[in-house]
Amino acid sequence: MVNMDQTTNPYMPYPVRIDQITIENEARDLKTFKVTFLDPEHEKAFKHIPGQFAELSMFGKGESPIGIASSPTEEGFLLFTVKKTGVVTGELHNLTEGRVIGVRGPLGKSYPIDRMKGKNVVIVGGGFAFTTLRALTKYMIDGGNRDDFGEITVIYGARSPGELLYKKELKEWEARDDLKTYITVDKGDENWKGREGFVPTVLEEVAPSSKDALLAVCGPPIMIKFTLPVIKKLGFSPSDTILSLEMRMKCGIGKCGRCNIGSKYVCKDGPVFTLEELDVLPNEY
Amino acid sequence: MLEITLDKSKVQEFLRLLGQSRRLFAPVKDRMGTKFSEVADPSLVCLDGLNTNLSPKEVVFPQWETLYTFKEDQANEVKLAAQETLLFGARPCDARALELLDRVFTWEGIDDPYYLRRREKTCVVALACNTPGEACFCSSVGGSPVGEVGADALAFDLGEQLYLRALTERGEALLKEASTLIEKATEEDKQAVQQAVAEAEKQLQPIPIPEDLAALKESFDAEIWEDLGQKCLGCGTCTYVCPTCHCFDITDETKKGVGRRVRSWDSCAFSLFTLHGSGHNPRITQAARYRQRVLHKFLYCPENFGEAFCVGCGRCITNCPAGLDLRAVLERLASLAKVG
Amino acid sequence: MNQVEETLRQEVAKLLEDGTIDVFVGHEAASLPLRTSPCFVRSPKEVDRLVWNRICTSNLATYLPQLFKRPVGLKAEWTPPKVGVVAKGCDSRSIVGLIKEKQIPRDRLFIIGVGCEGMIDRHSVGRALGVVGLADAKVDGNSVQVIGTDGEEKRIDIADVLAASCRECQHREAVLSNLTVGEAPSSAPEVSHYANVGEFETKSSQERWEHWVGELSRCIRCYACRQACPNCYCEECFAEETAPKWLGVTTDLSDVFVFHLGRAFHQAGRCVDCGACVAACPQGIDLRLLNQKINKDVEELFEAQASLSLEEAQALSSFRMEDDQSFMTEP
Repeated sequence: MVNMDQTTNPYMPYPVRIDQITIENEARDLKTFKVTFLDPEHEKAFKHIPGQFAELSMFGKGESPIGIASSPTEEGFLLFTVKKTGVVTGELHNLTEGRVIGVRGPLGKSYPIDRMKGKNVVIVGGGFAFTTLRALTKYMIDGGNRDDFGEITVIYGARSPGELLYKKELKEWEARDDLKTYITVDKGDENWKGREGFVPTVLEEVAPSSKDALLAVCGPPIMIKFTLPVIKKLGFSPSDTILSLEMRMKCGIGKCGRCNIGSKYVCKDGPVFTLEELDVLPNEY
Repeated sequence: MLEITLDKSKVQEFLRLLGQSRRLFAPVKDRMGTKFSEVADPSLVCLDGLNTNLSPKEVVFPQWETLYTFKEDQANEVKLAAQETLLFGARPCDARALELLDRVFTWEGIDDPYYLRRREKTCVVALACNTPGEACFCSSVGGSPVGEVGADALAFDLGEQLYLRALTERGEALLKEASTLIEKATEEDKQAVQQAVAEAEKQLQPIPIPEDLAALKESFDAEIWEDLGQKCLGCGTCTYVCPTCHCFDITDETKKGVGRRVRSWDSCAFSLFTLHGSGHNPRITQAARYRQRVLHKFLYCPENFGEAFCVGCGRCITNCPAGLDLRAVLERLASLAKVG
Repeated sequence: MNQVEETLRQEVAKLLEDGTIDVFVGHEAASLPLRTSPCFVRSPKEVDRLVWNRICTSNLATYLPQLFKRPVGLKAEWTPPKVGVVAKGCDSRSIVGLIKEKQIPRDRLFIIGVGCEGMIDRHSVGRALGVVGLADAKVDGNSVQVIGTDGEEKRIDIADVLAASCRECQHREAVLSNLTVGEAPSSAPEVSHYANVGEFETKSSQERWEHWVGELSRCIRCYACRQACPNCYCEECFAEETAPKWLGVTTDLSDVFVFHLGRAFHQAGRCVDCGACVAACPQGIDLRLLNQKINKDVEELFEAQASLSLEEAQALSSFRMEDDQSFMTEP
């Protein structure tokens, strides 16, 4: 028999089946995998909070740390949006629906949901880093959760319309009146009727109030670089500015020593950090 | 707890007796001085070396091991029961290092079963030092040549005989197994040990250690790292010979659809250690990598575990192919703290 | 201090003062006995750090390529520095190799060649001491006075603890230099430079296999051999590639054999037998034998030795119609 209990062996993945693969972009190197647990006990044990990640296991190739794109309110499955980058993600992209892969997790610290309750929440995302922000947004607007949070503002941009993730969801969100959604692209195409502009620019235009608000931002390093000054200008304090970092990882549980920034491990003390926490860490990420 | 003596002429018999129900790991002669080895024949055991060239950490944390095997989509945990093991003759620095490793492998309630199942079955009989090794500085980093941390029993070499003191119940039970060979320690023996302790502790010269964590943090951008980074070759020697270094890699190996996921020693000194899939490398210079090693041991681990992850065994110094000396680095860092 | 050391310091001071070089790569005393460490002198005031003696074992050529690489993240203007280096015969051959392989520019290099009678192998001294550690050592003429950690003193002939590659060295002067310091070495090598290989080749297949299993099973995959070697400058070593993955990371014999044999073959026609790999290995593995065997084969097949002059191409980077093709098999 196979012992898959991660409480006794945190290195063992749970087997999950790929139920659906959605190609998210024109370049076809971004896919969302909808997976379900083979064992309902594993599903019960895997209760995640938005912001957390899991190590996706491709036997024979290795593991890849991927943010969980689905909210725990979406029961019965998990969503992972993965960019094809190397050996492991390359293998994942070759798989078809019905195939089984491994999932180890949930790992890492989540977005500070408890601190966000009763507050306004601003979500700023760029490119394919939007994955865990989708989980956060869905969590806040789903079911009975909406009343726990104040105003929700979502600003999300990609290089081009084809690069936007979760196009169906974005349309649904734009139609809702209980959240403000601003979708933008760096450069539109002939069919694009929406906004054009870089994410930091749009953030500055929308200028959500920083009063009683927390802001979560996720994106490629270049976007973060230009967005942080805007966030500061809008008056969000470092402790109310929340980021999610990436690092090369292996064990995901703070033992292999690889993903640290100073004394903090991105796998276990992160990947979610406030700007205040990052400011005291060495500039090595 | 039990205090006994064992005539040196009976050490082999002692080990043979205890080795009947255990794996015996003890120092044997080697071209590099001595090394820890799994010993079937106790006559090969050599307790005359100062310290082995490689640390005994491989007893609980081997250079590589299989985490699980897999066939197509199915993974099978490797549930090998670890054998009862006697680690005999580890110096107090190495025994103390095991206690430090214990903290990492049980950190924040996440237990590493591969490390623990070996550790739980390992009885450590440490051997106190009469003479320091070529680059020893244990007493400067919270250790001692006669230290007891991490050991189940501590032995002293008194010339004609060994004196052994049980430190844990397991250690006591072990010693009692050899009741036919041992004798109760006399007052004279105990005094000889006191003498040995005093002698040993006298021989180590204290070296400056940077203990001001705030000052160490400030040193992150200091020039010292560029200087050292130039010399550092970027091999993994220092990390591999070190008893407290524990970084590891996880890789997959396959052969015709069947395979295994293994973990193996890795080193923060390697250039690809932190290379992202995107091509970004947060530690792209050897200076940054050398700094990581030193600050991890003397700043980040004190912040996370309350103690520096260095037991002062000196192996990184005696083995470094570029002649880098950690003691000189620590001295410079300590003096930076005074100036800044 | 000896005459060569004094002259070396004076010359380096001059070169730094008049701007011929920006940095000089040499040896300085390290903290442990019988050890030196590479040093990078950038000011005439620092030349007293430089030493020259029988323990200048490192092949300093390893440190040269990194000095000619643009510092990461530097936005300002940057021109490669002018670099000086002290070179024994083997070091200078490595430098020739690196120049030919375009890793360092000849015109920004100032080589001070020094004749060499061979360096002390500290592992040999260690073996002479057995389990006793080395407390202190002093080189005195042709012998070295060692004091063990047990207080015992011993006088050892340098000839008995000479590095194996030095014992068989055929090139005791720099093959390329801008300036030579000191006299040409007096002693001629007493043994052929493939003496160890010849002896090994008399062993049976089984004996040879057992020898290599014994040697390579000691390997802990620290890569000290590779990092110390001037020829190993690849940014991603074949042993680290993941696509394709040539070998595993373990110390399984199969992985260890593939690594060392692979690396030895990558050295074919390039290895200058400087002994840096052997000196660096924390497990004292005799890697030299492998490299020397391949060097011997290359010499026999192609009448070429590695890196003796800038004009000749390396044996395995070039092709001549008259090259031996006896190893080709019929399809």
